[in-house]
Amino acid sequence: MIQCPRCSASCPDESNYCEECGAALRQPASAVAIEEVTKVVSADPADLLSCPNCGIKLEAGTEFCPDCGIAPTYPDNFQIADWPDLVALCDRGIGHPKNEDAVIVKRKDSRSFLALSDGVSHSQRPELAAHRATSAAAAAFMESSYRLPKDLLREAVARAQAAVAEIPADPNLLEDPPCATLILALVSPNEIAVAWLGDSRAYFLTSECARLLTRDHSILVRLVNEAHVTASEALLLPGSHALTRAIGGGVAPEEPDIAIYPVTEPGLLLLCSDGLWNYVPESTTLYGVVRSHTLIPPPESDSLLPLAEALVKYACAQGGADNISVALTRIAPSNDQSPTTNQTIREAPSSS
Amino acid sequence: MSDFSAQVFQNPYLPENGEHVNAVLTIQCSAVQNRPDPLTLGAIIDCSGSMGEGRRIQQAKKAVAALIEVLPEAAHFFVIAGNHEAQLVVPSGPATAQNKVMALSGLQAINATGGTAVSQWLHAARAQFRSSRPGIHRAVLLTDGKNDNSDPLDQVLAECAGQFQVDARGVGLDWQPDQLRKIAEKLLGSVDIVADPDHLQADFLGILKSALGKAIAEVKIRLWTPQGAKVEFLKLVSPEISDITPLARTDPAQPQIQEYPTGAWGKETRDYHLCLRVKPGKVGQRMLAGRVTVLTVLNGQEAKLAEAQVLAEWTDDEARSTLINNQVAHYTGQAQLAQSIQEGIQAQRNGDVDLATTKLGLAYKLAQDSGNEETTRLLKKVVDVIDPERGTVRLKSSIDHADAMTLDTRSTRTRRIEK
Repeated sequence: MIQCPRCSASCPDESNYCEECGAALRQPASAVAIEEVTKVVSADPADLLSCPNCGIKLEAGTEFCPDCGIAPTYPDNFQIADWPDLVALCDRGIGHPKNEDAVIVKRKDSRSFLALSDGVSHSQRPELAAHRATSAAAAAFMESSYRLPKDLLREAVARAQAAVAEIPADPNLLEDPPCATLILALVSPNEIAVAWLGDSRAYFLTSECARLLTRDHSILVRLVNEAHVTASEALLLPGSHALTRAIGGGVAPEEPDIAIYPVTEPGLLLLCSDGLWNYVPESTTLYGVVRSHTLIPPPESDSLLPLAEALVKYACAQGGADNISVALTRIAPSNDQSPTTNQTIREAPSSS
Repeated sequence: MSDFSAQVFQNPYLPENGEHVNAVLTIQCSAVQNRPDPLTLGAIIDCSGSMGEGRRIQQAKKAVAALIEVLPEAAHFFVIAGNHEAQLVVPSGPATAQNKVMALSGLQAINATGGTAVSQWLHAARAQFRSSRPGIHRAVLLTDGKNDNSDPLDQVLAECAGQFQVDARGVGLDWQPDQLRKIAEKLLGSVDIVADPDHLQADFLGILKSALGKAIAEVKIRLWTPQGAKVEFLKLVSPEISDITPLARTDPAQPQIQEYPTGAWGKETRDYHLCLRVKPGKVGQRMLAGRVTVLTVLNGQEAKLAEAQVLAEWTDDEARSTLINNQVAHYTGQAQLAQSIQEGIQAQRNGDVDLATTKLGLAYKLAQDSGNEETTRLLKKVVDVIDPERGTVRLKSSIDHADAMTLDTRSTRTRRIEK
């Protein structure tokens, strides 16, 4: 028997993937450290994708090249660093054969939008589901006339759900229809609004600590809440990564959780997939890792990209069993606007 | 609104450099609109000199009369009598009592005389359908003889394609199955033999029943293929084999899109075999080799009814690339069965006993193995089976001409298998 590097489940010697959490049990020969991965800098994931056969640029979420029909391969690593204080980085990691995460950041007027999605490995075309979800959500942010964060996020989630549901699923395959997690954050100087389905997370880090803003839709959270185990202990339990809510999967659209937090002190918003948080299951660990690389909040002149890279490297150094994606933005509440409440950010609400 | 679904059955895996993608496309219409598109039915009967033999012309007239009698009033109809030219017996109009009486008296006046020029008949039918209201345009065409050699049939078939459907029937034993098969194939109809003129009436009523079972006048298959791909063929394979590849229409501005007419639809299921040749991808690459969209026209607007994808994926895993999807295998076998019968009967007619025996023996084995009981039954009227396992047969010492023609005409009827 061999032990899964991610969830420690015992797996038969001949298996290549963990039967519990789907992590690769062996490091592929082609695995390379993140330093060696070629980076593509781009403002729009649309520029990341081109047809491997005829070379034309393809929109993110494209299943097949409209000219030659070939399915594009989604990049193993990409980053979006158009704004120094709003960045995203997505990496295959080490253990997983494909990058099935997607991330996108956008800015319009005084608001920033961050979208991150983690394709479920045992579903069909997970990378496509992830890219369709983030692209559709970002399009909603750019186009929507809704001003209220709650309304805008609801619409963005609905469009992501519709985009994933449109991917044709083959009923003859054993794998589920395309399925992914989704987390969206809409950030204005005095407020963070997050919407999520699945176990991709948002944290708010201040000079003192890191606070989790989301509550995973996974068995893991149920275990922590109901069985009174710690998050680190729960991670080791078989099946703890199974999702209780997600987008796609061939089921009717599920309700996202939406939470709105007023911001009263400067800090850093982090969105990440479980490829990162698996290695920092407690918020204090995450705070320590970030703090060892930068002051919080980071100096205004600094780009957040080195921190994003540091987080990805950290996860790879711990094993990099899954795809790692992070999106980061700095938040500095404006002094001339008094916050709507005196409340400071606490951990995520127990229910929504 | 009608309810259509399209499903693809295929093994998408191809070996390195593999370029042929085969798929069976099942299109099902499980519900039709409440108000079916109206029917215009044409009756085209042969009145050439040979129809005077036996009771052919009398029985043909009786069959058409019976057809007209039971036509619902909502239908429109017309009658054409054809020899070396076309005579319009009744022009297209509603099936009112008055029009029916007029048609019956017109029928009585028909005499069997002259030659056979089917193109003239179809040309006249086309004019009638053009002046008819839009809806389901269908005709039954009855002939007893070989078309005149000088007749420009192909040209007229091309002009009529996509405008109306024709069910072709051969009465007696002097007509050519090939010719009727071609008419039915180009004009999206059925083909059958009515060896005994006494059976014409029942056959015509069967055609009417089928025509009244249709509700959507026009359904098209739109096929998108990647650049550099070629459609090797698109064949209807169930309920019978009909090659619709030559019916493709392409807009020169969109060379990657082909459109195929499929005629009128009722609640029914049809299977198509699609074979594409694509530019091979690299091992590990996936390709959309074809996108099939089923369309109709609603109030002058195109409406999408269903869609399905045909995929290709190159692999170095032989266990995957050598598998043949069982639907594809089944219909490939059924097509081979039809071809073996047609070639066998042709050889038998030419007096080539060895070739006929080989082809019909192969046909017997294919029919037997695929569970096509009807074709097996028809084959047994023409051959004696010596070894059913190996498909060894002997031609019957005296083959009834009607049996050989029936086998030939019905060779394209296929059997469906479980998905």
